[in-house]
Amino acid sequence: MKRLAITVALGLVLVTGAGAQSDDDPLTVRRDAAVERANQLREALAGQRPLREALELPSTDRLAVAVAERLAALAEARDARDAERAALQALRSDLDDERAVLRLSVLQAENEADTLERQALQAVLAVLSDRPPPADTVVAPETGTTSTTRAYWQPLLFDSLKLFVIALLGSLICRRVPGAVESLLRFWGRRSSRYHPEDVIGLSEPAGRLATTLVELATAGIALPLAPRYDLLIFMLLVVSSYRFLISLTELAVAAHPQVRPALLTLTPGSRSLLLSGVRAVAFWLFGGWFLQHAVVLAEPARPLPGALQVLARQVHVDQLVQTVIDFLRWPLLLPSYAGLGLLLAFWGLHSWEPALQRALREYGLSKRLARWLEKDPPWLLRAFYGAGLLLLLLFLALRDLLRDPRRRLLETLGIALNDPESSEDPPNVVLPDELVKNLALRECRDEWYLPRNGAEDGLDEAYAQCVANRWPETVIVLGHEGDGKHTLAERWCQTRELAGRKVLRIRLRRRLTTEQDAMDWLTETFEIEKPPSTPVAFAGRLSEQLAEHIILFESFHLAFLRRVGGFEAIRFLLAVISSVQGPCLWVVTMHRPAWFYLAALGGLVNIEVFRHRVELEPLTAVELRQMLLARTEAAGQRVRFSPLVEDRVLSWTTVKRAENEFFQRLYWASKGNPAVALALWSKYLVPRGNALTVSSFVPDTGAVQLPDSELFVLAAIHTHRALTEQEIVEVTNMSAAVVHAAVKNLQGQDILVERSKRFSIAIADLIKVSRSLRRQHIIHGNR
Amino acid sequence: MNLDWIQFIRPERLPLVILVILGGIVLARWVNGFVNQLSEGVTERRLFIKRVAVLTRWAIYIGVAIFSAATLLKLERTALIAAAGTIGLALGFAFKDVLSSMTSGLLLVLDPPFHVGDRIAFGNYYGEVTRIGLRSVRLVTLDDNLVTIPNNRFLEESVASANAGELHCMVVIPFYVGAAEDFTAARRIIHEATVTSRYFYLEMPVVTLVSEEFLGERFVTVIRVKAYVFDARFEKPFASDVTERVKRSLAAAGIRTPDQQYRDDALRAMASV
Repeated sequence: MKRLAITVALGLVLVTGAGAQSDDDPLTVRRDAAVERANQLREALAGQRPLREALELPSTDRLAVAVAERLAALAEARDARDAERAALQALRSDLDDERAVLRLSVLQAENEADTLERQALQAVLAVLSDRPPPADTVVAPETGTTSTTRAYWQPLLFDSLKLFVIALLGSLICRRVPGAVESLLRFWGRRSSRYHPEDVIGLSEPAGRLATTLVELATAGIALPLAPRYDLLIFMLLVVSSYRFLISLTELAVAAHPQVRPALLTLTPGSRSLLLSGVRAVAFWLFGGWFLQHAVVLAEPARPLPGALQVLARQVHVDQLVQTVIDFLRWPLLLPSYAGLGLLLAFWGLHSWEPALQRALREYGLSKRLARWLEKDPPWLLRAFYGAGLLLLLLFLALRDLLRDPRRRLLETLGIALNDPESSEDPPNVVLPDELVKNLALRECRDEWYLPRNGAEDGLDEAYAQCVANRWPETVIVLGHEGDGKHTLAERWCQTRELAGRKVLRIRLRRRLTTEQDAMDWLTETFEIEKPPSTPVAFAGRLSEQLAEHIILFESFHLAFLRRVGGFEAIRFLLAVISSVQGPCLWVVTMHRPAWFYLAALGGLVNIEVFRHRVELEPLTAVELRQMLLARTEAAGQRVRFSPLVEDRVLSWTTVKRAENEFFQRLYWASKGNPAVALALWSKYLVPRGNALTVSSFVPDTGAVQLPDSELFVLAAIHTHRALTEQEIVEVTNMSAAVVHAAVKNLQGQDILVERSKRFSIAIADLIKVSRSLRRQHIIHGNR
Repeated sequence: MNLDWIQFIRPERLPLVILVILGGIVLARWVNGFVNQLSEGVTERRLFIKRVAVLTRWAIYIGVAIFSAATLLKLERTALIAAAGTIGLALGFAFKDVLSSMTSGLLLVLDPPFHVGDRIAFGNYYGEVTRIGLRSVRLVTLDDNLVTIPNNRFLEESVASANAGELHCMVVIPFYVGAAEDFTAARRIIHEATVTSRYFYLEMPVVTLVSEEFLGERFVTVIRVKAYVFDARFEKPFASDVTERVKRSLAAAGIRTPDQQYRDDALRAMASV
C-alpha cells in the first residue's frame, strides 16, 4: 500500500513538474537542503564544529536515547528512499528523463547526508561507549530499539562519593597517626628499661611518618576495588605511597651519627644522605617503571608516545637497537669487564674530582652549605664504595629487567609495538563461524558497511561531469594497492550511474598481455570485432560507435605490461586505442598502484598522460577501520571480548577498554589502513570461545623480514605486478630459473607468498610487512 | 738527556690513564661493530648510521685524549709555558707523520670530501670506503682488496666520489652498435633494458645518448646509457644485468655489433668476388 502511494505521488510529481526546474522547485529545495546538511556534517566530522551542535542533539542526560532514536529514524528513512527509488525506476521510462534524474539526484544527496549523519551519530556513540555503560542500559543502534532506566554516569557518581569518603577517612586517620605513634612510643619507653626517653623521642618522628605511609597504602588498597572507575588515579596514589613507604622505612632503619636513637645502622650524616639518595634512585627506577608499564602505556594506547617521537623511534628502529644492545650485554665475558670499568670510573670520579670540587666551591663561594657538607664528609673511600655499589645495583636491576623478558619491558615502556617471536605465535587454528567468514570477506560489502571515499568519488564525478558537458571522451585512472577497494569503489560508482540511466560496459583483464598481438587478440575477443584491424587508430574507429554514451569500467589494467624488454608493447597499444576512441564515453580504469608508479617513473616510455584524471584511494582512518571490522563482526551476530588481553590482576572495565584501543591501534599500524589486510589480520586474531569471540593477543609489530637479496628481488617484482607466474618472475628479475624457483619455494614455506592458478602473490596479511621490508632495504622507493 | 718534562707528569695516575685509553679503544670498537650490524639491517639508513659512527668514534678519541692529558699532566700555566717548547719539539719530531695524518683525519671528518660507504676513486684505486680512522682511510676495491691510504694524502690529491653520501649512484654503460644498424630500435632496447633492471633506481631519470665514433678503423654507433643504481654496492651487478639484457634483446632484434657487421660485410664482399 505504502509503495503504491509513493508510486502515485511520484507519478503526479513527475508529470506535473516536468521541465519546471527552478529555485523554488520543491525537488531543488529538498536537494539543496540535503547538500547543506551534508556539508555541515562533513565539517563536524572534520572537527571544524561541535558534533552535537551539527546533529542538534539534546543535553547529555538524554543523549544516548536521542542518538538511538535518530539512528532508528535514519534506518526508516533509508527504507522509504529505497522504495521511492524502486518506484522511480519503474516509472522513469515513461516520464521525462531530466525530471527523473533530478529526482534521483535528490535521493542521492539525501543518502549521502544520511550516511554522514550515521557516521556522526556512531562517532557520538563511540564517545559515549568509552564511558562505562550502566548494567541495565541497552542501546542497540542497528535496530533502533532502546531502553534506558538509569543515567550511565550514576555509577560514576557513586564511585566518586566512595572515593571521597575513603579519602576523607584516610586523611583523618593520617593526621592522627603520628601523635598516636608518639604516645605509644612514650608509653613503651616508660615501661622499657633498655631505652632512654630521648631515644624514644628521636624514634617517634620517623616511625610516625612510616605509619602514615602505611595508612595511605591501606587506604589506596581499599579504594581500588571499591571505586574501579578511578583505578588510574588510585594506582598512581598507590605507587607514590609505596615509594614513600620505602623511603620512610630506610630513614627509620638508618640513623645519622650524632643522633641518638635505636636504629639498625648508624652512619655519618653524609653516608646516610648518600644511602638515602641511592634508595631514592632505586625506588624511583622501580616504581617509575612500574607506573609507566601499567598506567602510561595502557592509558593512551592511541598515542603511547607523542606522534613525532614515535615515528622517530620507529624510523631509527629502536627495536633493533635495543635487541643489539641486549645481545651485546648478554655476552657473558664482557659483563664483568663492564662492571669493573664502571666501578673504576665511579671510584676514580669520586676520588679525583672531589678535592677540585671543594676547592672550586671555596674559591667561588658557590654554596657554603655544600662546601661544609663536603668538608665534613667521611673519607672519599667510603663514598666511592657507596657510589660503586649503587652503580652495580642499578646495572643489576637494568640487566635483570632486560634479560628476564628481552625487549618487551623496555619497548612496551616506550610504547613501541614489538616484533617478538614469542608474541607473534598464531592463535590456535580454529574455525570461525561461516557467516562471520562470509562477512569478513573483502568482496562482501553491504551498503551499511561501505565507507564512502569522498575524495575518490568526487574525482570520478568530476570526470563524468566533464564528459557529459563536453560530449568528449574522458579517461580516469583509479589507483590503489591490493585490497584498498578499487573494485568496490568503481563498481558502486558505476551502479549509481546505471541507476541514473547511463550504460555501463564492464571489461576486465584476466591474463597478462605483453605484445601488440596479445593486445589485439584481447580487444578482438572482448569487443567481438570481426576482421580485426592492425593499428590502434583503426581499432578505435571500430569501437567509437560501440562505446558512445557508455561508461567503460576497465579493471586490472596492470596486467597489460611486464617489466622486461619488449614488455610494454601491449599497454602502449591499449593506451593508443583508449586515447583514439571518439565520442562521449568515460573510461574508468583501475590499476595496481605500484604498477602505476613504476610506469610513471619510466619517463615517456609509456604514455600515461592518456589518463586525464587520476583518482587515488587513500587508506582508511583508524576510526573507519575499527568501525568496519566491528560492523562486519556484529552483523554475523557475534560479540568480541578483549578481556583476555589484560592480566587478571589488573582486569577492570577501563583496562579492557584500553587494551581494546591498543589492539586496534596496533592493527591499524600493521595494516596501514588497508581494509583487506585489516580483515585478514582481524580474522587471524579472533578465536571463538563459547558463544563469543575473543582476542587473546596483540597484533605484533610488522617490522622488517630479513631475507636474502634474491628473495627480496622476487618480492619486489611481485609487489610491482601484484601476481606473477614463476616464468614471469624469471623474465622480470633476469635471475636464473633455479634461483627464482628456490626463492619462491622458500617464501611459500614462510607463508609470505601464496599460489593461485600458478600465479604467486604476496599473502594479504603480510602485504604491509613486505612493503615495509622492501622499503627499508631500499629496493622500493618513494610513495609506492 | 733532558728529563725536565718528567716533573710535569703525575706518574701515580698513569694506570688510570692506561685503563681509560683501553676503555676508549674497546668502546670505539664496540661502536664500530654495533653500527655495522645495525646498518646492514637497515639499508635505507646505512650511510647515515655509518657517518654517525665515524663522528662518535672521533668524539671518543678526542674525549679520551683530553681526559688523559688533563689527568696525567700538571697543567699549571707557568709549567705549561716552560715545558711547551721542549715537549712540543720532541713530540713534533717523534710523531710528525702520525700527527699530520691525525690532523688530516680530523679535517676529513669536519669537511668530508666523502663518507664511509661512498664509492671513491683515488689514484689507481676505486672502491668503497669502509673506515675513516685516526691515521688512515680504508678502501675495499671491487676485487675485494683492502687498501689503506694515509689521511694526509687526501689533502694533497684530488678524490672523486661516485655517490657523495647518497645510497644511489650513477652508472654509465656504453654499448657499441654497427654504424649501419637501426640505432632507434637499439636505443629503445637499451632504454627498456635499463629501466627493467632489478637494480634500477626509479626516483632518478635515465638518459641515453647516441654518438658516432671512429674506433678500430671503422665508424660505430655508441649508445651510452646514464642511469642510477639504487645502492652503490650494486653498481657492477647493475651494469652486468643491463648488458646481459641488451645483448640478448639486440640479438633477438637482429641488430649487430660493429664486429659482427664488419665480419658480415667482409663475407659478403668475398662472396661477390
